[in-house]
Amino acid sequence: MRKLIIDTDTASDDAIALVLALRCPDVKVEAVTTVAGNVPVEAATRNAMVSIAMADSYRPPVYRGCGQPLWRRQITAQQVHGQDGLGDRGYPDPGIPLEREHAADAIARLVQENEGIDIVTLGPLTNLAMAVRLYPQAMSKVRSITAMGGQYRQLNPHWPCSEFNILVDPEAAQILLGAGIHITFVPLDVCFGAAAFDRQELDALYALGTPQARFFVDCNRTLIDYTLAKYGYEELIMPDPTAMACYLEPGLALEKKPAFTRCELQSVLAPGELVYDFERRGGEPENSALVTKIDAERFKKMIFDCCR
Amino acid sequence: MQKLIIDADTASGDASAIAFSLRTPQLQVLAVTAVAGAVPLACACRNSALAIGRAGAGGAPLYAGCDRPLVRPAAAQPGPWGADGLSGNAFAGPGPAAGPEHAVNALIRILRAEREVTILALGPMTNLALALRKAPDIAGNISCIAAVAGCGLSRASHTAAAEFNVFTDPHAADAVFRSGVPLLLFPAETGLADARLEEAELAALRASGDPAAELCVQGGAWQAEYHRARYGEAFFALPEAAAAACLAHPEWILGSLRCKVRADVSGAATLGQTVLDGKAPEEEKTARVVTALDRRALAACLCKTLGGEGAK
Repeated sequence: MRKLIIDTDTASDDAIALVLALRCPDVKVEAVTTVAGNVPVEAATRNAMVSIAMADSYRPPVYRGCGQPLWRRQITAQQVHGQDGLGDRGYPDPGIPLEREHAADAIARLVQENEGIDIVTLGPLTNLAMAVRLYPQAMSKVRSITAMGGQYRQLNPHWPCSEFNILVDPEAAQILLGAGIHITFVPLDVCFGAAAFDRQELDALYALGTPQARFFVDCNRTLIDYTLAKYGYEELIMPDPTAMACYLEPGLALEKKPAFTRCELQSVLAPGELVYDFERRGGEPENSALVTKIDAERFKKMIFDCCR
Repeated sequence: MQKLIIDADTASGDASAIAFSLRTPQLQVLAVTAVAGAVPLACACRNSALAIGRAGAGGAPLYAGCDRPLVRPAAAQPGPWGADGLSGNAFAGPGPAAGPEHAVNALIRILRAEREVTILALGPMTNLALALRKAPDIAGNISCIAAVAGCGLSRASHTAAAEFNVFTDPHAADAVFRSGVPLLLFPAETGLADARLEEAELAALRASGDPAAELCVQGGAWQAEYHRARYGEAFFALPEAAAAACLAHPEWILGSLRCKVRADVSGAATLGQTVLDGKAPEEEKTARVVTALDRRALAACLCKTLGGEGAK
């Protein structure tokens, strides 16, 4: 049974990813750790608890982490996910207790205590970078990191060169990339096209009528409206669930390119850009892999099956 | 009594400041937290322990912190102070082992338990930045971060634009500068100019036979040749101990200016530069930058305390 830690800036698509993981019988979520990103860390923590309750499965401990990036000023994406991050639907507090330990301490401790634990990150990498800097020996034991982060060839309408999770804390990303732990990036690119849910698919999902199905669509209301207003069509991309699905079902990634990846920290034009060097002509280490193609049909089936 | 935590990448200057602080009745050293910088972390711990032991004044707990800067690679070794940070002297002596707790966690624990603590930051601010990020609530319990860091008033010291501590970890320095915690900065120029010991004072310190004085003078022997080569003058300065002395005797700060300060993390030529902004809005001017010190009063105090006559 694979064990994992989920680090999340829980907003609407992170919520789906959490439910997906908790309802998957092949893995055990040892902890959920929260970070500021989509929303402030207090909201991310509350939303994580709402999601855990909504999964109606088991309840892993929740650890709160960093409220700010390591060096940069905080940016959030509340205009995209709702002020509360879950479509402002007013989901009640499920009364899950918050652990006292800081997320960075918990991550390092769990990695130390569990042979071969994996980490899936759905938000900025601040907690992990802090854990790496505070406990480099312990963190070298992480088996793998699957990160929703970065973009490849997608023309990102928000920021031309970078994706949100990396843009929020590029220094944290670079710390991770230099830490000797292999990172599989699931970029924004593979979340569009066939992997996006259109109006019919959203209706079909909603029509399942289960609390999870309702939750998946309802908490993403702001994101759906935002997409409609900005681009004129109703579609929901699910970056965090896509990344989680790639971890839960390793066969889902049809194409993965090994790379030496660096995060640009200094450019005025392209801060937070992940630069993937697939050729590694200078003999640079393979510190990462970029997922460039997924089985979109299988991904959507996973989402539906999760809600039945 | 001023409560003090000393964070240091202990080479000879920091060692002198630690011993001085432990022997100064107005200062209560709650802990010494070590960081990599001028020397690697293990060496900073060893030198801190030596200084604590040789101060012989009650001691303080020691904690090991970060072994490299937040983002930038570690500083090139060895520095002009020698691979051991103490001019290659094989100093011996008892001293505390670094406690099991990470310095960042110790900082957080102590700052949650105490109020009005001054942090004397003598090295790259890696530990401090991480502590403030990990536990933002501690900011309110810090009266001031007194840092021997930065420059910009006249000339730089480590690169053409930057001083060593800020250059080594500009991200940490900038995060600390922006934290809202009041800052008291002792820039490189001020220390090099006004924290000097004259030949006679140095000779008296050398002659005292005091173990802390030995650490200070012999450990700092690298300064003569280094300063002669760089500045044409073989002077001896103790900017770190002077900063500690100014905490006990603020009247020895003869000149200062108030400004907002930032550290450059991304410049090519300006990496690590401290930018002093005197035109910022009042509420953003959280730094007091020391421009002049009472050299004579400081020198007398440093010699008396490190020479064994002012010990607690």
